[in-house]
Amino acid sequence: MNTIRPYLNCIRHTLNATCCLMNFPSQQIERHNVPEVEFGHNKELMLPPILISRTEHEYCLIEASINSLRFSVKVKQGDLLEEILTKKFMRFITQRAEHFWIIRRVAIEGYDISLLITNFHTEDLLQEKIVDFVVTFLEEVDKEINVMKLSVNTRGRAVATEFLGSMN
Amino acid sequence: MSEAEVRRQLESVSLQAGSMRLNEAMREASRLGPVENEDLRKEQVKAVTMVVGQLKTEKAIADCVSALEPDEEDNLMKFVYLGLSMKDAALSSPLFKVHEALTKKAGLGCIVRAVCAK
Repeated sequence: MNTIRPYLNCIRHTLNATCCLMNFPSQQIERHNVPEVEFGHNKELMLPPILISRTEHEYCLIEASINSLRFSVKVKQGDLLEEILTKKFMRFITQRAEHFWIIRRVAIEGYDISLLITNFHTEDLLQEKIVDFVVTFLEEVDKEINVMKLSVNTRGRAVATEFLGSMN
Repeated sequence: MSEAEVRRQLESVSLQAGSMRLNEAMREASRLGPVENEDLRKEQVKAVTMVVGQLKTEKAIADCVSALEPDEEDNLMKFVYLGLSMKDAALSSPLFKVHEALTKKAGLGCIVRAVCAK
Protein backbone atom coordinates (compact mmCIF):
# COMPACT_ATOMS: atom_id res chain seq x y z
CA MET A 1 0.00 0.00 0.00
CA ASN A 2 2.86 2.39 0.78
CA THR A 3 4.21 2.06 -2.74
CA ILE A 4 0.95 3.10 -4.36
CA ARG A 5 0.28 5.96 -1.94
CA PRO A 6 2.47 8.58 -3.74
CA TYR A 7 0.78 7.70 -7.05
CA LEU A 8 -2.68 8.12 -5.52
CA ASN A 9 -1.70 11.39 -3.82
CA CYS A 10 -0.48 12.78 -7.13
CA ILE A 11 -3.76 11.79 -8.78
CA ARG A 12 -5.74 13.35 -5.93
CA HIS A 13 -3.94 16.71 -6.14
CA THR A 14 -4.18 16.78 -9.94
CA LEU A 15 -7.89 15.98 -9.89
CA ASN A 16 -8.49 18.66 -7.26
CA ALA A 17 -6.70 21.17 -9.47
CA THR A 18 -8.39 20.20 -12.76
CA CYS A 19 -11.91 19.41 -11.53
CA CYS A 20 -13.06 23.04 -11.68
CA LEU A 21 -16.09 22.78 -13.91
CA MET A 22 -18.78 25.24 -14.87
CA ASN A 23 -21.85 25.15 -17.05
CA PHE A 24 -21.02 25.98 -20.67
CA PRO A 25 -23.62 25.65 -23.43
CA SER A 26 -22.51 24.24 -26.75
CA GLN A 27 -21.00 26.83 -29.10
CA GLN A 28 -22.02 24.84 -32.18
CA ILE A 29 -25.52 23.63 -31.43
CA GLU A 30 -28.20 25.97 -30.11
CA ARG A 31 -29.87 25.05 -26.81
CA HIS A 32 -27.58 22.05 -26.33
CA ASN A 33 -25.20 21.37 -23.53
CA VAL A 34 -22.52 18.75 -24.24
CA PRO A 35 -19.45 17.64 -22.28
CA GLU A 36 -16.73 19.42 -24.23
CA VAL A 37 -14.16 16.72 -23.43
CA GLU A 38 -16.33 14.21 -25.32
CA PHE A 39 -17.24 16.59 -28.12
CA GLY A 40 -13.59 17.54 -28.61
CA HIS A 41 -13.98 20.11 -31.40
CA ASN A 42 -13.25 23.22 -29.36
CA LYS A 43 -9.56 23.16 -28.53
CA GLU A 44 -9.76 26.47 -26.68
CA LEU A 45 -12.09 24.89 -24.10
CA MET A 46 -9.84 21.94 -23.32
CA LEU A 47 -6.68 21.52 -21.27
CA PRO A 48 -3.82 19.40 -22.63
CA PRO A 49 -4.25 15.77 -21.47
CA ILE A 50 -2.26 14.81 -18.38
CA LEU A 51 -0.74 11.34 -18.24
CA ILE A 52 0.37 10.17 -14.80
CA SER A 53 2.18 6.86 -14.87
CA ARG A 54 3.43 4.72 -12.03
CA THR A 55 4.97 2.09 -14.29
CA GLU A 56 4.88 1.21 -17.96
CA HIS A 57 1.71 -0.83 -17.36
CA GLU A 58 -0.08 1.25 -14.72
CA TYR A 59 -1.10 4.79 -15.62
CA CYS A 60 -4.01 7.15 -15.83
CA LEU A 61 -5.09 9.93 -18.18
CA ILE A 62 -6.85 13.09 -17.08
CA GLU A 63 -8.54 15.10 -19.84
CA ALA A 64 -10.16 18.25 -18.57
CA SER A 65 -12.31 20.85 -20.24
CA ILE A 66 -14.44 23.78 -19.15
CA ASN A 67 -17.51 21.72 -18.26
CA SER A 68 -16.30 18.13 -17.99
CA LEU A 69 -13.40 15.92 -17.01
CA ARG A 70 -12.62 12.46 -18.26
CA PHE A 71 -10.44 10.19 -16.13
CA SER A 72 -9.21 6.93 -17.66
CA VAL A 73 -7.25 4.27 -15.81
CA LYS A 74 -5.07 1.39 -16.89
CA VAL A 75 -4.86 -1.05 -14.00
CA LYS A 76 -1.72 -3.08 -13.36
CA GLN A 77 -2.11 -6.57 -14.84
CA GLY A 78 0.84 -8.87 -14.19
CA ASP A 79 -0.34 -11.99 -15.98
CA LEU A 80 -3.12 -13.40 -18.13
CA LEU A 81 -5.29 -14.33 -15.13
CA GLU A 82 -5.18 -10.75 -13.81
CA GLU A 83 -6.05 -9.47 -17.30
CA ILE A 84 -9.12 -11.71 -17.45
CA LEU A 85 -10.20 -10.83 -13.91
CA THR A 86 -9.75 -7.10 -14.56
CA LYS A 87 -11.72 -7.30 -17.78
CA LYS A 88 -14.59 -9.14 -16.06
CA PHE A 89 -14.57 -6.82 -13.05
CA MET A 90 -14.62 -3.68 -15.20
CA ARG A 91 -17.35 -5.15 -17.40
CA PHE A 92 -19.41 -5.80 -14.25
CA ILE A 93 -19.00 -2.18 -13.16
CA THR A 94 -19.55 -0.56 -16.54
CA GLN A 95 -22.76 -2.53 -17.09
CA ARG A 96 -24.06 -0.81 -13.94
CA ALA A 97 -22.68 2.61 -14.89
CA GLU A 98 -25.97 4.43 -14.27
CA HIS A 99 -25.80 3.51 -10.57
CA PHE A 100 -22.32 5.05 -10.26
CA TRP A 101 -23.31 8.25 -12.15
CA ILE A 102 -19.80 9.16 -13.17
CA ILE A 103 -18.61 5.93 -14.78
CA ARG A 104 -18.50 5.83 -18.56
CA ARG A 105 -20.04 2.77 -20.20
CA VAL A 106 -17.13 2.34 -22.59
CA ALA A 107 -13.52 2.88 -21.61
CA ILE A 108 -11.23 4.95 -23.80
CA GLU A 109 -9.03 2.82 -26.05
CA GLY A 110 -5.91 1.63 -24.26
CA TYR A 111 -7.50 1.91 -20.80
CA ASP A 112 -9.52 -0.40 -18.56
CA ILE A 113 -12.15 2.02 -17.30
CA SER A 114 -13.09 5.66 -17.82
CA LEU A 115 -15.02 8.11 -15.70
CA LEU A 116 -16.78 11.20 -17.01
CA ILE A 117 -17.41 13.98 -14.49
CA THR A 118 -19.52 16.90 -15.70
CA ASN A 119 -20.46 20.23 -14.15
CA PHE A 120 -23.87 18.76 -13.32
CA HIS A 121 -22.19 16.13 -11.12
CA THR A 122 -20.15 18.78 -9.33
CA GLU A 123 -23.33 20.81 -8.76
CA ASP A 124 -25.18 17.86 -7.20
CA LEU A 125 -22.26 16.23 -5.44
CA LEU A 126 -19.30 17.55 -3.46
CA GLN A 127 -16.21 17.84 -5.64
CA GLU A 128 -13.89 16.66 -2.82
CA LYS A 129 -16.02 13.56 -2.33
CA ILE A 130 -15.96 12.77 -6.05
CA VAL A 131 -12.15 12.92 -5.95
CA ASP A 132 -12.18 10.76 -2.78
CA PHE A 133 -14.36 8.22 -4.58
CA VAL A 134 -11.99 8.07 -7.55
CA VAL A 135 -8.91 7.56 -5.35
CA THR A 136 -10.65 4.96 -3.16
CA PHE A 137 -11.85 3.17 -6.31
CA LEU A 138 -8.25 2.92 -7.56
CA GLU A 139 -7.11 1.51 -4.21
CA GLU A 140 -9.95 -0.99 -4.00
CA VAL A 141 -9.61 -2.25 -7.58
CA ASP A 142 -6.09 -3.46 -6.86
CA LYS A 143 -7.20 -5.21 -3.67
CA GLU A 144 -10.25 -6.78 -5.35
CA ILE A 145 -8.21 -8.17 -8.25
CA ASN A 146 -5.68 -9.69 -5.81
CA VAL A 147 -8.46 -11.25 -3.71
CA MET A 148 -10.16 -12.67 -6.80
CA LYS A 149 -6.87 -14.10 -8.06
CA LEU A 150 -6.21 -15.82 -4.73
CA SER A 151 -9.75 -17.15 -4.73
CA VAL A 152 -9.41 -18.55 -8.27
CA ASN A 153 -6.11 -20.22 -7.43
CA THR A 154 -7.54 -21.72 -4.23
CA ARG A 155 -10.60 -23.08 -6.02
CA GLY A 156 -8.48 -24.42 -8.86
CA ARG A 157 -6.22 -26.22 -6.41
CA ALA A 158 -9.20 -27.68 -4.54
CA VAL A 159 -10.85 -28.86 -7.76
CA ALA A 160 -7.65 -30.38 -9.09
CA THR A 161 -6.96 -32.17 -5.80
CA GLU A 162 -10.50 -33.56 -5.69
CA PHE A 163 -10.55 -34.57 -9.35
CA LEU A 164 -7.15 -36.21 -9.37
CA GLY A 165 -7.78 -37.74 -5.95
CA SER A 166 -10.86 -39.51 -7.29
CA MET A 167 -8.78 -41.12 -10.00
CA ASN A 168 -6.48 -42.87 -7.52
CA MET B 1 15.59 30.17 -25.24
CA SER B 2 18.21 28.70 -27.49
CA GLU B 3 19.49 25.15 -27.58
CA ALA B 4 22.93 26.37 -26.53
CA GLU B 5 21.49 28.07 -23.46
CA VAL B 6 19.67 24.88 -22.45
CA ARG B 7 22.80 22.75 -22.95
CA ARG B 8 24.80 25.22 -20.79
CA GLN B 9 22.07 24.91 -18.16
CA LEU B 10 22.24 21.09 -18.24
CA GLU B 11 26.03 21.20 -17.89
CA SER B 12 25.74 23.56 -14.96
CA VAL B 13 23.20 21.22 -13.29
CA SER B 14 25.48 18.20 -13.58
CA LEU B 15 28.43 20.23 -12.25
CA GLN B 16 26.43 21.46 -9.27
CA ALA B 17 25.01 17.98 -8.61
CA GLY B 18 28.49 16.45 -8.90
CA SER B 19 29.74 18.88 -6.23
CA MET B 20 26.72 17.89 -4.04
CA ARG B 21 25.35 21.45 -4.18
CA LEU B 22 21.90 19.97 -4.70
CA ASN B 23 19.84 23.05 -3.83
CA GLU B 24 21.72 25.09 -6.40
CA ALA B 25 21.46 22.22 -8.91
CA MET B 26 17.67 22.11 -8.46
CA ARG B 27 17.39 25.90 -8.89
CA GLU B 28 19.47 25.73 -12.04
CA ALA B 29 17.41 22.82 -13.41
CA SER B 30 14.17 24.77 -12.80
CA ARG B 31 15.47 28.10 -14.12
CA LEU B 32 14.35 27.44 -17.69
CA GLY B 33 11.05 25.89 -18.70
CA PRO B 34 10.64 22.86 -20.98
CA VAL B 35 11.72 23.47 -24.59
CA GLU B 36 10.03 22.47 -27.87
CA ASN B 37 12.78 20.05 -28.94
CA GLU B 38 11.69 16.65 -27.60
CA ASP B 39 15.17 15.17 -27.08
CA LEU B 40 16.35 18.23 -25.21
CA ARG B 41 13.17 18.22 -23.14
CA LYS B 42 13.82 14.61 -22.11
CA GLU B 43 17.34 15.59 -21.09
CA GLN B 44 15.94 18.42 -18.98
CA VAL B 45 13.59 15.96 -17.25
CA LYS B 46 16.45 13.51 -16.69
CA ALA B 47 18.53 16.32 -15.17
CA VAL B 48 15.73 17.09 -12.70
CA THR B 49 15.33 13.38 -11.85
CA MET B 50 19.07 13.04 -11.39
CA VAL B 51 19.09 15.84 -8.83
CA VAL B 52 16.02 14.44 -7.05
CA GLY B 53 17.55 10.96 -7.01
CA GLN B 54 20.41 12.31 -4.92
CA LEU B 55 18.02 13.77 -2.35
CA LYS B 56 17.58 10.77 -0.10
CA THR B 57 14.93 11.94 2.35
CA GLU B 58 11.63 13.74 2.01
CA LYS B 59 12.95 16.47 4.30
CA ALA B 60 15.87 17.05 1.92
CA ILE B 61 13.43 17.33 -1.02
CA ALA B 62 11.22 19.72 0.96
CA ASP B 63 14.23 21.90 1.88
CA CYS B 64 15.34 21.94 -1.75
CA VAL B 65 11.88 22.89 -2.98
CA SER B 66 11.45 25.59 -0.32
CA ALA B 67 14.44 27.48 -1.75
CA LEU B 68 12.75 27.88 -5.17
CA GLU B 69 11.19 31.07 -6.53
CA PRO B 70 7.58 30.92 -7.81
CA ASP B 71 8.63 30.78 -11.50
CA GLU B 72 11.06 27.98 -10.72
CA GLU B 73 8.31 26.09 -8.87
CA ASP B 74 6.08 26.29 -11.95
CA ASN B 75 8.89 25.10 -14.24
CA LEU B 76 9.69 22.23 -11.87
CA MET B 77 6.03 21.17 -11.80
CA LYS B 78 6.01 21.12 -15.62
CA PHE B 79 9.06 18.85 -15.57
CA VAL B 80 7.37 16.62 -13.00
CA TYR B 81 4.34 16.10 -15.24
CA LEU B 82 6.54 15.59 -18.30
CA GLY B 83 8.50 12.96 -16.40
CA LEU B 84 5.36 11.25 -15.14
CA SER B 85 4.05 10.95 -18.71
CA MET B 86 7.11 8.97 -19.81
CA LYS B 87 5.86 5.64 -18.33
CA ASP B 88 9.16 4.91 -16.64
CA ALA B 89 9.01 3.49 -13.12
CA ALA B 90 12.54 4.73 -12.34
CA LEU B 91 11.51 8.32 -13.14
CA SER B 92 8.06 8.18 -11.54
CA SER B 93 9.09 7.25 -8.03
CA PRO B 94 11.26 10.30 -7.24
CA LEU B 95 8.95 12.61 -9.19
CA PHE B 96 6.00 11.68 -6.98
CA LYS B 97 8.00 12.86 -3.96
CA VAL B 98 8.80 16.16 -5.66
CA HIS B 99 5.14 16.56 -6.65
CA GLU B 100 4.06 16.09 -3.05
CA ALA B 101 6.62 18.58 -1.72
CA LEU B 102 5.84 21.15 -4.43
CA THR B 103 2.09 20.87 -3.91
CA LYS B 104 2.55 21.32 -0.17
CA LYS B 105 4.60 24.46 -0.72
CA ALA B 106 3.05 26.07 -3.78
CA GLY B 107 -0.49 24.72 -3.61
CA LEU B 108 -2.92 23.67 -6.35
CA GLY B 109 -2.26 26.90 -8.28
CA CYS B 110 1.17 25.59 -9.26
CA ILE B 111 -0.47 22.47 -10.73
CA VAL B 112 -3.02 24.57 -12.62
CA ARG B 113 -0.32 26.82 -14.10
CA ALA B 114 1.81 23.82 -15.08
CA VAL B 115 -1.12 22.02 -16.70
CA CYS B 116 -2.47 25.08 -18.52
CA ALA B 117 0.90 26.06 -20.02
CA LYS B 118 1.13 25.40 -23.74
